[in-house]
Amino acid sequence: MAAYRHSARGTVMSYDLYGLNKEPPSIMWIDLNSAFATTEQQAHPSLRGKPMGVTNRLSKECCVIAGSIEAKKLGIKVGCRRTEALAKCQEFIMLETDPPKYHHVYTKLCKIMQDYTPYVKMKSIDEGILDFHRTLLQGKTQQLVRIGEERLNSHFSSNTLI
Amino acid sequence: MNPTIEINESVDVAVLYKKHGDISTLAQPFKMRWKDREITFVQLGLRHPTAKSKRMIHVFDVSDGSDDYRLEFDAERLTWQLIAIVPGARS
Repeated sequence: MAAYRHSARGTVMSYDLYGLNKEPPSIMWIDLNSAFATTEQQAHPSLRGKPMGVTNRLSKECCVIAGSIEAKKLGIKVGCRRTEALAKCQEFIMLETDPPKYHHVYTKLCKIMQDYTPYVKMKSIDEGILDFHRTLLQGKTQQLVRIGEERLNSHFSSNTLI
Repeated sequence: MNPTIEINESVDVAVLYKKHGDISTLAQPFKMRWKDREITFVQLGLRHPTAKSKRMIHVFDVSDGSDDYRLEFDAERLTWQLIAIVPGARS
């Protein structure tokens, strides 16, 4: 449904034609990919880059409640039973959940979000909405993506002990 | 399947107070003596607080470059415990 108009400043979307929203992007929805599994991989450097998942209680027929990105590539997704996961990948690693760890990551995520705007609404333990209306960053979400990448790099580089 | 080996033993730990910004320092376990072995940690995976009854516990997930260790510091009793090891076999 998008229409484009050619002008001296380049190709721009013609919102006026269809009465679409002309407002610059000022809402950001952040969702952590494979949140619980990624948190475990952050806590355990030896598990990084490996197919792994998290379950509530380890048993013979327990199921994956969060799989790592590597596991998802092998077709091991949420709800997949342990036996199915092992059939797909014999090296698949399953850990039990650690709620205080995930709660800590949640509070850190909230603090990071609140550094950019006071209007934050968390939707679940791993996702939230940032509203940049009435802030200096209104309409500058592209700039925020760069800031986020720099912050991520600086955070992880400081975790080396020696 | 689950590579975690539970230990639950008291250990000797040397702590490093690492500069973090201009005003604060972060405490991080640096070395540990366990079963006559001295293990030097090279990476802090994650630190998070939790509670055991009313006692504040700081959980440190650290790595010596091959294996991962879960250490708990009891902020009331001022004791360190090695809770678990995840053998690395990092490829």
